[in-house]
Amino acid sequence: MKRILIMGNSHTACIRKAWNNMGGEVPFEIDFFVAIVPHARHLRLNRNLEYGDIDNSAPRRITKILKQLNGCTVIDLKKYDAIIRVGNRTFPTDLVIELLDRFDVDGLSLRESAHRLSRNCFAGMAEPILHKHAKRAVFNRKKGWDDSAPPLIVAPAPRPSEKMLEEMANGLLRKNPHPLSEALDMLDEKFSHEVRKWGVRAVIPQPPKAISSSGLTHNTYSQGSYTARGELHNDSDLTHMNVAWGELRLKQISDAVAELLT
Amino acid sequence: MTAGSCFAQHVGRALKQHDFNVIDTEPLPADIPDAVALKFGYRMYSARYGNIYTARQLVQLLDEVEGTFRPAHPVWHRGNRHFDAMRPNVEPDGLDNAELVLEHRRLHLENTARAFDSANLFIFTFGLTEAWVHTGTQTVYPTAPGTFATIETPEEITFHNFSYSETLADFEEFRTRMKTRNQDMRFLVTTSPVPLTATASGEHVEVATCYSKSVLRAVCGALYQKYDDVDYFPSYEVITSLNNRGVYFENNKRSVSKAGVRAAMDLFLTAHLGEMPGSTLQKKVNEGAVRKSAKQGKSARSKAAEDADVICEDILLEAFSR
Repeated sequence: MKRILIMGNSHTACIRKAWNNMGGEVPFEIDFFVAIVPHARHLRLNRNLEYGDIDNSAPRRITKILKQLNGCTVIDLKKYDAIIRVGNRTFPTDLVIELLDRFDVDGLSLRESAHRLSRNCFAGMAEPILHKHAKRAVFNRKKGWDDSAPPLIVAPAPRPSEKMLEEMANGLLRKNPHPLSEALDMLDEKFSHEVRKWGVRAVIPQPPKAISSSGLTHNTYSQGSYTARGELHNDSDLTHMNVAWGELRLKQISDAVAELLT
Repeated sequence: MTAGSCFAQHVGRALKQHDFNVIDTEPLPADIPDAVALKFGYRMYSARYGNIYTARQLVQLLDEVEGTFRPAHPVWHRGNRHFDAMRPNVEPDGLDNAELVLEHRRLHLENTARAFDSANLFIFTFGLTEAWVHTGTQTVYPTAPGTFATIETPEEITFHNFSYSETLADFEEFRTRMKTRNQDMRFLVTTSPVPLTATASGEHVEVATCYSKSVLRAVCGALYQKYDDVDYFPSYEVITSLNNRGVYFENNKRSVSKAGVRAAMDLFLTAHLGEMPGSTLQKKVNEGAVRKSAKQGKSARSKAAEDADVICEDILLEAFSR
């Protein structure tokens, strides 16, 4: 049986829970390796493809927490047939909401805003951010991901709950959120294009069933989400998803791995 | 609100850094980096009109805002890209079609109107007397066809070097009409110390610079003397004074150095922090604050944003070297 590694940040929690529920239905052996966001920036992937090399500036508790979450502090990526990188951001959704709440953008649906952004300007804003996030997805390796390593699949973080729109949007998006959906799709596509340039073999899209007409995730999927340590988030958390979303994601991962390895 | 030639960007930036309420009617979210915003003409001035080099351009902008004037050839093209002829630096790669350029401009003019109506101080930096004018309609452009883009009939656009009386009359017209729109409006004028790099006047560039700066400085002086609601800020003198022996210019002898910008802006802020009484600035100059401020400029005050370059159109320079 093929063996895959699902590694990532707190967004791995819902997938892990889903795997606990439906592990038997997945035709792969799966290991998980989780490093929560403030800690992940201290971890490095070394030349031997061992992830977990901790830099000197890291707080001491990282080792303890990594052990609690994973049973180990370092994971050898060479042992796996495929690596699934989970939870990377493609683009900050709050920034897109802030922009589209006030601006119409050429090429997206228009709402007679007093402010108009050209497509080039929008792309000019997005590109450095997408580039930075794409590099992170390949562990900031200078030459990207190469064939000497197991194939890398990226499963980006879920789009936030549509509640974010209710909380942030006071202007144009309140009346017509359609351009948000278009913009997020466009940015995801650009992100996908960017990471593929860095050697990523596949990028898993947002689960279509979970996406609302605004382009954000249906509220139902953000209720009852868990932290990486298995504790329930409170209702105000809009960025993490629950087990139902994790099940959708795990199915997508399974399909993507099957397609890649067969 | 601020407007003018590229040196005016320093004024706006210094004011923002010191928490003056500088109007920006076309703002971007704060998370967008300055490098991207400036490339597309945001955060330069109180609306996205780019550099306004001549007083005639300023009047023309007001005409457009008030709907009394439509420029001839408002859209220029380069290949299959289309550009706003009146503000070439806001979309460096142009837009997809002419209609889009006009629609962007329509919205921009609405936002400019909001800036005109909500400001209580208009800071203008006079930059040039040289301009390119459409002979049939007297439309003034910031640069010549064939530089960043062109039109089918470039011969309709010719060089014009504005005189003292034209420049003074233009700004007086602008002031009068702005006071009609916005009775509370006051004005602070200044002359850009940045010399010309090229000229289309046929004169040597040093001669052309001297003419241009003399006209602009004299206009500022006349405005200051004539109107109680017009104040003058001596950025030109701070930078170009012979007593400074050129120390406030970069090695290219054209760009104002960071120390120069700092000296000028320190003086500006010293004069204007607080309640901005109309004559404070002149008083400071009389007391020798220019010299004091110049010395302070050499101190190592760290202001990261102040160090950022201003956006000047090299294509404009190219235009004048034709």
